[in-house]
Amino acid sequence: MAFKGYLNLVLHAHLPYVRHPESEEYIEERWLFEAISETYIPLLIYFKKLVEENVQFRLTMNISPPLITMLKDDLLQKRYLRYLVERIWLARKEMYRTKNTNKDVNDLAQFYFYQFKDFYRVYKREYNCDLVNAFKYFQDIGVLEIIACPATHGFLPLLNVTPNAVRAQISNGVQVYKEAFGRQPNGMWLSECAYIPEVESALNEFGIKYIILETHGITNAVPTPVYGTLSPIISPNGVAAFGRDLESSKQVWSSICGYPGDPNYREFYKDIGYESEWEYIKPFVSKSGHRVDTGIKYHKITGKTNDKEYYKPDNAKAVAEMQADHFISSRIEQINSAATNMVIPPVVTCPYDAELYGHWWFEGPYWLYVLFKKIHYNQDTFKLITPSEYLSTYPNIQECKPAISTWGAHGYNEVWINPGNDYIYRHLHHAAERMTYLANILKEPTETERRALNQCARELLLAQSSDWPFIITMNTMVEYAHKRVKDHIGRFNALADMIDKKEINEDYLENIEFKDKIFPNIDYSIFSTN
Amino acid sequence: MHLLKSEYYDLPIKYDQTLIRLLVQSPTRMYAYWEVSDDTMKYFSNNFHNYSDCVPALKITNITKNYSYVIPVDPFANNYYIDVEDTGCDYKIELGRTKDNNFLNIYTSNNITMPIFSRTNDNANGFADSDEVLFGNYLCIADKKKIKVYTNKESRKYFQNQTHTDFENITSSDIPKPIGG
Repeated sequence: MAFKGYLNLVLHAHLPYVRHPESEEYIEERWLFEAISETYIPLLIYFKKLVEENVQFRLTMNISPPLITMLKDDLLQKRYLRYLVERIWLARKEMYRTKNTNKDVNDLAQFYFYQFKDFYRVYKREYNCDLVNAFKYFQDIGVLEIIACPATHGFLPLLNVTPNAVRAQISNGVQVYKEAFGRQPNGMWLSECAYIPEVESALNEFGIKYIILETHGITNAVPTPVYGTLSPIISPNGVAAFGRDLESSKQVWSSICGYPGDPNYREFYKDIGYESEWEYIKPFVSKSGHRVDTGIKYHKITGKTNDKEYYKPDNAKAVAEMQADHFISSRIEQINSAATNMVIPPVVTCPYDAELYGHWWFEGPYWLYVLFKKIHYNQDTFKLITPSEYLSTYPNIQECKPAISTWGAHGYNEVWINPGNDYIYRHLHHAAERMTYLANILKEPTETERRALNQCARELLLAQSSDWPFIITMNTMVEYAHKRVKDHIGRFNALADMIDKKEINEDYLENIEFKDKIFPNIDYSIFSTN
Repeated sequence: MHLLKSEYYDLPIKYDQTLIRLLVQSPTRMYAYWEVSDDTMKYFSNNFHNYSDCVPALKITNITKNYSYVIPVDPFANNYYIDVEDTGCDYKIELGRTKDNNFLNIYTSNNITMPIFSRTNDNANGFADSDEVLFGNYLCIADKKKIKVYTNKESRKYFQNQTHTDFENITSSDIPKPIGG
């Protein structure tokens, strides 16, 4: 088969900023630790393996600024190492506990023990606890293209009432990227793929060449793009947009027929953290005394039954390999068919949440590894490509105005604004206007005022995170999300009042700087309009 | 540094300002929130009519198709969800009071562009299918345009009382006559 087109795989890695130096009782820090163990380290292990095996692969990744900051944070690195050591001890304990009881379970306990030990080696010895630098290495050698993301994953269409809020999100996102990766980003992952035309001026201002959109952001563009999502389009302002391919998305994402639901894959919801005797598991779960996931899970999905069978890693791997074949044959068929009607090679864009791979879909990183190998060795119809490579190879693309869109349920803003979370926006807008006012009037602040203004900017950006309204809508850690909104708006207002009165309480400021230690090089003047 | 272990903040109930803001929820539903300061109320009473004697109202304008209509709002409400039929159009909302069928503007919102309808499959990003968000079905007729108006209070009441289906139907005679458009 002759070469016909491209596959553009995009992983979006993001977690809200959940660093809590004031207490170890926040179970939300575990979101980070679980993602490191289950997604980021396995991905890095397989990237390295692919490079060592001389497998040509290309992948686009976004690592959001809160995630970059947390992965580089000393305190969280120390806490993660402790978390990992606890996993190793727990797996070891499990090996002894199950030694003479059940061979299947004992094999799995050993599997986890050696896996956690390997993760420790990779994290501590190989990457010196700095996973951002590890991902940077793969970008520097040309297999990864890392793209930027708004500062705190703010949902831009609902912040745009104060245009400076959008500009600050994009500007700080680019700044964090440059500090972490030492170069200008070409692309930006708009939080929740949420696009409105008004974001383009800031994208242009900060050098962003392309974005990724939900399917209808392309298919509803004006004029209608002749190649649908199989080719990028370029807006009249010069921002290129790649649209998500629906067919390949469904194969992976769909909760009904998607790959991660195979009965042989590991069951996410059965974890010994919930199933073991309390006294036994207590030292390994939350400091606040709540049962939580430990990462040790012994069962496979099995089917729609509560009677789950034991997980067999080798069987799961065999399924991942078959599914990789299926994905490739589907793409060959799709690309062959599309290419007959196109004058340029089609590009199938497949964006996914990175945490799907490994955290939710335990076998996901292995599937990706096998997929890259099979694409490299077993077919010639399509190649992997990044958006930058595609745009530099095929610069003549159709000019269209992308359509307003998001990748949330129903395609617009309902997830982020509904009766459960809409109260947030009046406070976000008020704080953004007040921040703009302060930035406009305080051109030559004292050192203390400057620190307070920068901290106000941090608090505002943290309050703007799309995660809080999302969590409220999904009805998961709702109280935590409400608290975070209250805390950041409360801290912002307290500091802004102090600045107004010229009575800054340095002890308070120092406390808040210590707690919300994101964006060390932030400059509040980004909010200024003059 | 003495570490503040526990902090507690409440969000301000109001900011003592006068404004109305308009946001997009979906191609057919927008969200407005507003606040009227005490000073504005006094100014209104001193220069027009007694503020409390007037009916609070929103004047919705489809800028693209150049028509407007006015809907009453509950005196205690500070936010509404408003359904519109014409997608892909620019809209704005004026916050005001009506007296003797006259609409008096207090503040005008930002403009928004409603998206056009999607052809993408729902649930495309794999989020768990959340139940369709149902709100109270507060049907009213204004300026011969069929619109639906939802309030937070009503929708929450709906969720608390699942057997409740429809809110009171309001007929066109209950609605102040729209001005302009």
